[in-house]
Order: sequence, then C-alpha cells, then structure tokens
Amino acid sequence: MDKLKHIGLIVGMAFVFFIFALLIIYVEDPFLDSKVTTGANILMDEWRQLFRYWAVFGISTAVLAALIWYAWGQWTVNLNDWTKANKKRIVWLLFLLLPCCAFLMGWLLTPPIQEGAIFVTAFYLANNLAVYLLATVFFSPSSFKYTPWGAVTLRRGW
Amino acid sequence: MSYYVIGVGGTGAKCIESFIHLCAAGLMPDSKSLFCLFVDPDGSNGSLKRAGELLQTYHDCKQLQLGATDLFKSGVRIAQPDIWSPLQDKPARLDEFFNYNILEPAAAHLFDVLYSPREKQTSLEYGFRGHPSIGSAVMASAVKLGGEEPWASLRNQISLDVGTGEGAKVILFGSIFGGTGASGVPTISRLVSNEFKSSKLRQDRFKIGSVLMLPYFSFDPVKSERLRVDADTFLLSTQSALNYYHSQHELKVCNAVYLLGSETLKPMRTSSIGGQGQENEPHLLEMYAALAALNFFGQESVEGYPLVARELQSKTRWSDLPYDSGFADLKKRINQLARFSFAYLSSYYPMLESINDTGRGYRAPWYINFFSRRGVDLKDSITKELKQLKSYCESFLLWLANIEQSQTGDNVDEGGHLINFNAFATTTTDENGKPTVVLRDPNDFSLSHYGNLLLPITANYPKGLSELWETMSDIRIKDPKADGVGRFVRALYDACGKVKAEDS
Amino acid sequence: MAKAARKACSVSPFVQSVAAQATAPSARAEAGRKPAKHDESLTVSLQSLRYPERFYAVSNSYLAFMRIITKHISNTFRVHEIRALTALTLFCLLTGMGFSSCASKRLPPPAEPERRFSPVSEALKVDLFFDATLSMQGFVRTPENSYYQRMIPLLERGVIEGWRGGEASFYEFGDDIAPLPGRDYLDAARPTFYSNSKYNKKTFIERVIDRAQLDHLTIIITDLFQDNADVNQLSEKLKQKFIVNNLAVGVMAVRSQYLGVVYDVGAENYSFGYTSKEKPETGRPFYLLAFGSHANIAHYFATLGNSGLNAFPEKHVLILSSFLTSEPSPFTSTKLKIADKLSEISSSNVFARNYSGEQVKAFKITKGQAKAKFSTDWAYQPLPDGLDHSSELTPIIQGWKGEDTGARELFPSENLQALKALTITAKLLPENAPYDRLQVAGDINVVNFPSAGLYFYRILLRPARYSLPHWVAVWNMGEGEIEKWHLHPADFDGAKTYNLENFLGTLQGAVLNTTPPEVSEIYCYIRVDK
Repeated sequence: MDKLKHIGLIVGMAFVFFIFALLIIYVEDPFLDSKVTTGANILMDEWRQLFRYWAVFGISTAVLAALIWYAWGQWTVNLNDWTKANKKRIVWLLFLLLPCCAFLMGWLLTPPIQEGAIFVTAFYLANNLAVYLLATVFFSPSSFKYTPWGAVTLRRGW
Repeated sequence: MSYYVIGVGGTGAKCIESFIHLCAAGLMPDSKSLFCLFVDPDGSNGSLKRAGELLQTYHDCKQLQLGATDLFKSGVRIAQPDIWSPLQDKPARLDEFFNYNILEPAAAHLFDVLYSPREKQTSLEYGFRGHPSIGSAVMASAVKLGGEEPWASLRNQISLDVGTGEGAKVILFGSIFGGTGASGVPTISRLVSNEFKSSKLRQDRFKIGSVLMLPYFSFDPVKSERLRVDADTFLLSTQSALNYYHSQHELKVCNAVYLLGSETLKPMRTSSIGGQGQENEPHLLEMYAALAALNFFGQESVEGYPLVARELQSKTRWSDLPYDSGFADLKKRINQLARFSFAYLSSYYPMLESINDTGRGYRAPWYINFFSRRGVDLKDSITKELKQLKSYCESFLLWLANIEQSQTGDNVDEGGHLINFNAFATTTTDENGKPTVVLRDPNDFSLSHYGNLLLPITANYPKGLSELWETMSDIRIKDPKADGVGRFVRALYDACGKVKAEDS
Repeated sequence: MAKAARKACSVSPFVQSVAAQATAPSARAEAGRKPAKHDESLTVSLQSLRYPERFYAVSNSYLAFMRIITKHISNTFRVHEIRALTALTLFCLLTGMGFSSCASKRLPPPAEPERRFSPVSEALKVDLFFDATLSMQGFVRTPENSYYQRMIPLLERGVIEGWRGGEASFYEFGDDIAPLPGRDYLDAARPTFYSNSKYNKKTFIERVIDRAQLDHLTIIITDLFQDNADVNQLSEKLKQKFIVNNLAVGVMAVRSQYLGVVYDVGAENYSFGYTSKEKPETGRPFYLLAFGSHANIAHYFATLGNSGLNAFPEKHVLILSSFLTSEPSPFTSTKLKIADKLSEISSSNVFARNYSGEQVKAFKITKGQAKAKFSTDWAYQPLPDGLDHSSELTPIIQGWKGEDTGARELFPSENLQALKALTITAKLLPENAPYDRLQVAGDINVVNFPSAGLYFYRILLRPARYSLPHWVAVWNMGEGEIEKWHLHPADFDGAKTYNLENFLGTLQGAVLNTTPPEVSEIYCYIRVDK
C-alpha cells in the first residue's frame, strides 16, 4: 500500500504538470497570439514555439523540484527526532529557487517582443510557481504535507 | 460483570499498580468498570502513594474520548476514600484500639495472652509491623460492610451487580509475609464472602479470589525499631501463614487462590518500617499477580491446580508469562503501549509543547489534523489531558524498566529478559549508594530503539519513529466516539500498533 | 518450608493446558482455514489463445488494473475531491479546445504568376536567317577576315554547343526566303552569296517573322536598315508574334569591318559607299536579331560570346522582354529589418491550402495598434543585357478582404478601403545600376482597415522609368545627318544604323505596354485585430 501511495502522489504531481501543459498549449499560447507583437527577426510562430518550449521547460523544472522535494522529504529525512521537523519550510523555499531559476532562464532567453511582454512574464512566473506550489501543496510526502504555504488550507482529506 | 480489586498493604498496592498498567494496555477481558480500593493502615506508605497516584492518573486519562479501543479500556471507579485504614479516626495503639483499659478481666487476660506488651503498645500508624496477629484483629473489628465508606458503597454496588444479573468478581492482593496483607486478605475475603454468600442471591453471580504473594523481596532491617518487619523472617512467616490457612480453611471462601513467589529475594532499595520511606520498586512478580487477576476475571471458573513457572531458571521470557489469549497477545499489547508511551514522551508531547510555545503547527501534520482542524485548544489541553497522559506514560515506562530491573542486574543488553529499558531509562545510584532505575530525559531516549523496546531484539528497526510520524500524518480515525484530545491519542495508539512487531 | 516453596516455584515448564488455553483463537481460525483453490484458468498462457481470446485476456487484465487504480483513487481521495479534480480537468480541456476550435478561417493562397521565366530549353531548334541583300556584301569584301565573316561559322557552333539536342537550320532571305541546306550557309562569308538577284534587293524581315515558329529560336543576321514604315510594321509584327506570348526580342549589335555600298539610307533611300577604318568604332554594325524565350536568347548570345564573339571589340547585347530578373523574389524567407507594432507569422496560418511559393509574407497586428510598419530587403539579380531602368520602383497594389460567406475558406473580395491602409515604398540598391538589392518598406495605417479580419495585397514593383542603353543613341543614324551626307558623301558615317533608336525604342515601348516587366511580385497577408 505504501508503494501505491507514493505512486499516487507522484502521479498527482504529474497530473498537475499535465494540466498546466494543456493550459500552456491550449489557453496561454492562443491568448498570447492575440496579445504579443514580436517585431523583426522572428516569426510569431517561431516565437510561440519558443514560448511553449520555455513554458514547458519551466513547469518541468517546477515539477522536478517538487519531485526532488518529495524524494528528499520521503526517503532522506529521518524524523526519529522530532526536532528534525523544524526548518523544513526553509528547505521547501530553497527548492522553490529551481522553478525561479527556470523562470529567469525562460524570461531571458525568450526573444524580446514589442507588445505583451507583461503577459509572457506573468505566465512564466505563474506557471512555474503554480506548478511547484500545487504539486507540493497537494502531493507533498505525508510527514511534510502541510509544510508548503497554503497546504493547511487547501490540502484536506489526504 | 463488574470487577473489584482490593489491594491490602504495600504489596497489594504494588499489585494494583501492575494491574492498572495491564488494564491500560487493554488486557482486561472487557471494558466493564473496575472498582479499586486500597486497604492500608499506613496511608503514607510510599508504594501505596505511588499506586494511588497512578490510579488517579489512569482515571484522568480514562476521561479522554478514545472511542472503541483497548487503551484505557476499562473504566475505573475509585473508592471514596480510595485508601481505607482500619485505624482511621481510631487510636493507633492496639491496646487503645480495643479499649484494653475497659475490657472485662477475662477479655483483658485473653488480650494479654495473645499480645505481648510491646505489641499492645507499639504505634500502628505505619502498619502492623509484620504481625498478622495484630492485623487480623484490627481488620476484623474495623471492616464493617454495612457501615462506613468505602465498604458500604462496595457492598451496595456488589449487591446491585449481583441482583441485576450482571455479576461481580472481587479479587484481593496482598502479601502473606508481612503484616497488613497477611492479616487483611483472609479477613476481608471472609467478611465480603460471608456478606454475599449468605444472602439469598445466587452464589454463581458472585466470585471472590485472592492473590497471595509469597516472599519475593528483601530489605535491610531497620535497626532503630524494635517492633518491625524483618526480611529474615519472611520465609518463616510464610510457612506459618500457609500452614494456618490450610488448617483453618481460611481461604476456602475464595473461588480461586493464586500463590506467587520467587526463589530469589530481590533486595529493595529502601529500608523502612513504613511511611514514605517504604516505597519499594515494582517487581515482575507483581505483574504475575496482575496476570493472575486477569485470569480470574477472564475465566468462568478456575479449575484444578495449575502451576506456572519460568522455563529457564536463568532467564525470564515472554512465553513464561501466562495470559488467557496467549503470551504473544500479551507481548503485543505491552509492546504497543510501550511504543505509545515512548513515542509520546520522546516526540509528540515535546512537539506539542513547541507548537504551544512558538506556533508553526504545520511542522506536525497530525497536529493540524487532530487539533487545529478539530478545534481542540492546545493551550488548554497541554496543561490538562496531555500532561496527565504524559504522567501516565512516564509511570508506565518506569514500571516497565523496574520490571526488567527486578530480573537482572544493573546492565541490560541483549542478554536481558523482557524489556530493553536502556532505550528510555537508566540505572543510577541514589543517595544511599543503592542502584535505582530512573527515566531518561526524553531528549536522551534512544530513538532508534523505538521498534525494539521488548526483548529479544530480532531485527533492527532504526526508522520506526520516522515511519510512525508518517503514519500519524495520514491516519484517520473513523470512530465517531473518539473526539477531542482523545482522537489524537487514539490515533497515536493505533499507529503504534501498526508498526512491525518483532515477536519471537 | 523454604525448600518446599522453592520446589513449588521451579517445578515443570509451562503447563500444556494453560498453553492450549492461551492459544489465540485467531490462530485456530487460521489453522482451520482451507487453502485457496488454485484458479487453473490463470495458468493458460496468452500464446496458446487464439486472437479473439487473446484480446479478451489482455482487455480483462487491463480492466483489472483499472479497477485497482480506481479503488486506490477512491480510497485515497474523497468523492467531492475526485469530482473537483475531474471538473478542473474537463474545464481546462474544454477551454483549450474552445480556444483551439476558434481557429480563424483562411484565405486561399495567391494564384500562380501568369508569367514565369522559362529556363533554357533542353533541346532547341534554331532557325538562322541571313540577310542576303547587297548592303550585307560589304561585310565580306574586306581585305582581312571581317568580324562578320568570323562570326558566320560560330553561328552553328553556338547552337551545337549551347544545346545538347540543338539543331540549326539556315536560310537566306531578302525579297524571299530560301533554305540553305547543309553547310551552304558558310557561303554567306563570300561576296557571291549576296549576288543572287532573287534575294538581294529588298530586306523583308517581316516575312521571316511570319515564318518564325514560336517554339524555335529565330535568329536574323542583318544590318537592320529599315525605313519608318518598316520600323512600325516590324515592331507591330514582333509585338503580335512574340511579345504578347511572353517571348523576348534580343539584339546583338556588332561592328564589323566593311568595304562596300550601303543602300537604302534614309527616307530617300540614298546609297553611300563606305570603308571602315582601323578603329573598331568605325566598323559597320550588323545585328543578330533573336526571337524566342529570354533564356534561350541570352544563352545563345552567351554561347556565341564564349565561342569568340566576346573578342569583338564593338559588341552590345540588348534583350527586350517582360523579364527583368529570372529569380522570383525570396520575399518569404527574407528577414525583416524593421517590424514595428506587427508580428510576422508563418503564411501557413493564413492559407487554407498548402502553398509552396516564396513571394508571401504574413503579418499579424494585435488590437490597439494605430500604425505599423515593416521593412526588408533581399538580394536582387537582374538579368544581364536587359532594359535599363531607374532604381525607383512604382508599386502597383491590389487589395482584398477575406469575407466569410459560410464556406470553408474566406472569399477574397476587392476592398478599396483596405488599399488606403497599406503604403509601399520600394527601390533598388545601389542608386545606379548594376542593382543588387531590392528594398521594400510598408506603412500600415490600421485605422483605415474597415474592420478586423484577414486582408491580402498583391504588390507589383515596376521600375518608374526606362531608358535605352547609351550605345543605341551612339549607333543611331539620325535623319538630319543623312541629308548632310547626301551633299557630302565622303562624310558618310557607316558606323551607324538608320532608325536604330526608333526601332529599338518602338520595340521597348511594345514590351512595356504589352507585358510590362516587373522587378518583383509579392503578396502580403495581414490579420488585423480591432
């Protein structure tokens, strides 16, 4: 049963990734198509492909960070000593740096545009943060299920 | 069926102490309530005081709404007063007790024949000084079932149980090598039995048993006292008592008599004629006494003359402990309660204290699930229920350590008998240089031995507490009757039972 | 007593009866439980099943797996949480599909260009007509081998070397046309060739034109002395025969040594004797008029040049055709230099069907823009020896709006208002020929678009001004000069050709009017959000 639980939680993280991948491809991308003006040197189609690439890269990094957080929390931390439960929110925040770095990479390496840059920035940031937050809020290992911000409010029942 | 336990004297109190711990582990046959009464002229007896405090702690813990669980399964009714002294509000000297001065000459002469002047004049406030002859007379005179409390309530309650068809079983604990127990057990047995067996009530609804402890400990004599209990005379006293009981059919009123003893007399740490100084540490034989009571309560009738003993002379094993559903079940429940106590003291109570002081309840998911979301006020419960539970857990672990220590020397390792008590206790020397077992500070508990609290150790389980933490973070209690702090306690207890057990 | 007590305690091990009593009831139940019956059906291997059964076995396993997963999900999540997650998933999918299903309708791709620059033919039949009139005799009576004489054998060689399957047919013409079988054409290098009275009186080029076949390359070797009437008639014939069919007229002008009489000079048909001097610029021009595809003409002239005509000092080539360049504009693949307030999109976003051309760029203008502009340039390779023209280009723009008529594609409807929205400026670079880059800039006034939608524009870029090459004016014999020479015959300048400028100018005019050449033809598709 333990194995099924781990599989279930990891599948849950993958599900969050999948939902956001769909969101990127079917919602954000078409939305940006109507908002973004690329300017010279790049076709809109190429720019959109790059956006999709970096957006998916960002959420992949976010879900990877969540998976590493899961593996670390589940199989590395030994809670024989109750004091080891302290300061884990700081560790969670440190893992958050990964999707933030992915955001920076995407933000810097996406070709500059004339219009709509704020939406692109918002999507990159929101995607990465949301995936990491949702994946960890809902699918953190049991011993740290409420460590992520918002988990106490949002995670109920499992 | 209602259950009544009466502990007579210091040994009786210690037996009740063991019995309470076994009740807490859910070893009673059902959850019917238990009536407890201590009988001791020496109300300040250290062992009695410890047992009385334990009983009160158990009673407090029983108030937790745990739902349908074995933990603190049995209800407890504490007699009012919980300690009955035959000398209460009476003169403490034998001659004054019986109004020697105004006795008729014939009675007075008989009194002189039966009792020496020293016996007549020594103060009895610390008990009967190992003289059952004194005790029997005082007991027989003082116990009035139809009169003072708690005997009146005892009588009425038993009458009610028997009259409604519920049934009642009464068991008495006491030693036959001391003073109070040797005199009290047969006397009170006879008085109670006569009260009910003489009535028109069906005799099969009322049963009485006694657990008589033969010598199993010794202590240094208190040289300052002339009239005192002398450990050197224990065996002689026991021989006399057994002969007397046999010849006088003193115990024929009992449906079952359990006799327990040990070939080696464990030296006690303290030597005292009575009072607070007479606090003897728990002994394995008292656990046997408690198991005997459970046997009496669990069986319809006890037939024959079964003998119980260790298989090996040099070692006590769990298989040597008799329990109706098997030693494996006994071991499992003791293990579960031991792990519960260990985990509670080492991890859960400190975490709750930390949350109470600094907040950040998210560190403990079980806190969120059982306290925060359920509206349980931690500030209030940390000073009440949780503290009471902590007190019980400390008592239980110390009792376990002493049980083990009573079988071994100072060092218990894998060559130990029953309990790996070094994980949570340690032996030290008191101010008199005598070895004593003390509970470690929970920060010093050997956390990796959580899974190996009982011996023998068959496998390592170094992450037991960590896995318990994980289980506690997910566990759900579906029992609607478990509520408040009790829900958390129930969850922790159940989770401790889910951990892999190393049964041999 | 003590001994008895010790004995009582140590006697015998654990009593069987108590042990039996203590045996857990569950253990007895376990002992009494029968072993599970072995399900033999599970041992049947898939391989032994026939195909339908194998399918059922696999699908049953799949169903069993799904039951386990479903059971775990239902044990792990509460019902309302499963519903919430399902609703979220469906919402995202439907929203996405909704977005994606809102894909706009598209326009059909532009039609294929009407004119395509045909490449050099694989095999070609070349008909070569020698002007056999007396005026031509002077080219072959010079003391030394004249350039004209040296050219004659190169004519067939040019065909054979130029085309693997090339066939050259020779004729003489004048008053009439007669074939020159075999190698008789080499007689054109001798004076006697021009002595046949049947052919040496009048130069009826128009008869050659009448006879010329469109799928052949027709070459006329002549001195091109035509009067005004001849010029007009000839030009008209050339226009009707070749120009309207997108064929070209090529002129290779060569000055050759001359010793003889030039007849039919001027409107009065004067005759002048002329002897060329040492200097090549005193040579008398003869012309190879070529009629056929621009590529074949250019290839033949190039082959002749490589065969030896490039050594002739006074030689010029001019090819009059509707083509200024052979390469279509690589408009699609050029990078924009400026793209202000608009995005370039792939043309597949605007076309309803596949399109492989390279002349299209598609743009997208988002909501809220008032003006947009773009600019780009690309390499431009003009055809050599073509018309001279200015670097300034005149854009001719047609505009359509895609109208939704309910069909799968938008219907392109001409929209005059949309024309106001796009302004194109184009020029060739550098300022003076030879040009090597074409620069195009577009200014879009979004306000002028009547509404949001898809617009497309056809933009033809044509030179603003044309001119004949300078050598034409230099080699032209004007009417005014003839009368002077008539008075002073010794001053006759035989190095010029009467009415040359008029003739070539008329031809040029015919080309410009009939099939005006284009520097480039490009298309812009603009999707506008308003």
